[in-house]
Amino acid sequence: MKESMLSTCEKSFITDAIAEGKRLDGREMDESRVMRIYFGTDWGCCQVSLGETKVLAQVSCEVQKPKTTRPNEGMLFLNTELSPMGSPHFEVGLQSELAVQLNRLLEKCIKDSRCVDLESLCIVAEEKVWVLRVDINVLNHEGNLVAAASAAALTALSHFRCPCVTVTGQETVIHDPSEKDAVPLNLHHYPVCVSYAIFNKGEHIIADPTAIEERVSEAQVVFGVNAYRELCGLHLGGSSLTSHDLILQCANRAARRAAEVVQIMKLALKEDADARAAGKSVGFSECIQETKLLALSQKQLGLQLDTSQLRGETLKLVQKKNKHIMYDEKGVKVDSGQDDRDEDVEVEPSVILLDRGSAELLPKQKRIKTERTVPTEAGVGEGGQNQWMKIEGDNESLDESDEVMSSPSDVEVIKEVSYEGNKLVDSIELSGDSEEEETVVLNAADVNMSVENTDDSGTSENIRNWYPVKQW
Amino acid sequence: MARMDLISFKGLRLDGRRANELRQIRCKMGVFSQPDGSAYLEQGNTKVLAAVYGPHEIRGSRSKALHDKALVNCQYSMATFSTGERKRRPRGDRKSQEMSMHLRQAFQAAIRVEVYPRSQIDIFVEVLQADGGNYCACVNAATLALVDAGIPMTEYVVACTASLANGDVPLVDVSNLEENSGGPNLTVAALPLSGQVALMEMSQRFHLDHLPKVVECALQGCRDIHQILDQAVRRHTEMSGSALGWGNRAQVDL
Repeated sequence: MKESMLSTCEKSFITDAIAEGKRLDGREMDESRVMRIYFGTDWGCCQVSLGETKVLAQVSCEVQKPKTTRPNEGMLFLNTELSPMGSPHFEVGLQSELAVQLNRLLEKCIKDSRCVDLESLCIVAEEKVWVLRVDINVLNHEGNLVAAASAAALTALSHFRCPCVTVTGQETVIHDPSEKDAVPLNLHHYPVCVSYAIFNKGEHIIADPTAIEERVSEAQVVFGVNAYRELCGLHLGGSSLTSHDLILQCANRAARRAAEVVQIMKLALKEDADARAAGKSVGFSECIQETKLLALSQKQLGLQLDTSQLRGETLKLVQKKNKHIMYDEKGVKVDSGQDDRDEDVEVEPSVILLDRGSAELLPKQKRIKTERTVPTEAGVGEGGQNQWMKIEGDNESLDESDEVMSSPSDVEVIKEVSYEGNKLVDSIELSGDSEEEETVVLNAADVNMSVENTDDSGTSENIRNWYPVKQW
Repeated sequence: MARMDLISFKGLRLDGRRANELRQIRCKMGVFSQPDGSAYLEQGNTKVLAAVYGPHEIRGSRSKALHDKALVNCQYSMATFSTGERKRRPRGDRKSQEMSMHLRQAFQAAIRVEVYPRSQIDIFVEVLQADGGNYCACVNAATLALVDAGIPMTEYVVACTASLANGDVPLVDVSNLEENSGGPNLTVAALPLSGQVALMEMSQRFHLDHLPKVVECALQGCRDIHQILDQAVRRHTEMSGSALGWGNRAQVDL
């Protein structure tokens, strides 16, 4: 499948945005995406995800005759596969330009810099040596493949264990890992690749470009740097010209980023080693679970609120919540006005900025006064309280209260809200135009409730649980 | 691997040059009659032939035609007898494909492709003898061939290699022996007068702090090569122009 064409307006939008210092996903010009490293159950299998770009690397070894020119060194082969799984425009088998470039960059960076100690892979000089193969598969291409691939290859190499070998006279015995512990490889240093994209004839440089930024960019520069600030590979290419002092600036930034990446790698390796030593289950299944989205247990719901009238509306609604809203016989709302305000709970919703584009409103309740106190919010899976049940019996018991419920269609929603810190407990009442149904889970606490609904369930007086209580 | 001293304490390299001396460059333009432009270039012992066809209509798939630019197509090939051991695959293996790509990147930046929309410019480069600096010799030869073909470029594209000896002395224009003895190797393809870089390539490893002076050394090498190439172009133009009478006079002075 051919790569879908990039429209001119997309191109000009991205170029203009970068000229102003803005990026499509909101990152800073030299900010990279989050890198996560996961390990499989086998030694030497690891997956790196850089934002949405995901790359899998696997190391395997076998015994072979060494090269005649280097009789006492093992061999290392790197192979990068761009299968259609990564992107629809990758073709099966065909060595596309990107594949060739990726392969050569990784070879230069990892093989030519001699980061793996090949002499330690020798078993019998001139006869038997270990030959390592690193197979890199691109699972998803969302830009900056070279950084993800280099990190994956290096982590897989550090993670890999070579079977133990004993040479006795003429015989060579390769021990099973169950008999004798496998031996880790020796890596002198970790040359990670950091890539930048250049725009506007070398005026603007961004770090860690996404796929669309790469396509729009005029040139790309890739630095292979290790933690000791040694340059192991450099490639600058594209269809535009750059001045060389820009490259030198980038090189310094790249060195810093490389040091960060090496830290991330070492941390992930250490965690995995600890997990294996403790006997915990390891493998990709662990990492997949984390990103699963279940109905009631979401990390965060990203809601785009129309904040223009939100503040005013919610102030009104939240205050109404703690008052009685009088309905006369005809069902017309009679606003009880400001008479009861001093009796009520002082509610000041505080807007907390959670993330770009969304915000939560937490009513800060200074004093909670309810005649019909209800228990606090339950955890996830238990849902909120039943707000549908009409419990006739409770009506009489509350006659002593000052607020009089004049008709069964009164709406009174009282909820005791308690929270620690920023825990999202309460909900935001949106305007009554929403047509969503309420889904409420019953629990034992409902018996004590005396909240009554109006018969028309579509009104806004019912509190909906937008946010779960439990934070993962 | 034995590390030879790339530079002796007297300041001489393995082939007798000083640290900032280029190898001897000999070149000739217009060596073939069939291509629109051709050139032969020798840089030390590295010998390279370049041929340029174009601009002409897009061959093969019309879908690759760019509506506002010309397509630059490069092919890098090494003769089987070019290296010490006979090369089994002259073109199509990974290294050659990578070189072809790099050539294309370097020239795409310099050729005025907007002048020929929906056309194709082919650049074929053949290495007859490889003795280090193959890519640079190819770029320089291709520049001469493009000038010979009359294709408009913003500037000459000149490439040069640079390396580091004994950890801190930058060497310019490395030969095969110096390349293989393990030192770092930086290749720069630049437009020398404006100082813009079209392609930069590095292998092996060395400390980042040395990068500025190695880059500067390579750029200076590019400027020196540019002078040599410029003289060669002027000489060739004089000779071929005067033989044809510069188009002005009715008769040719023999």
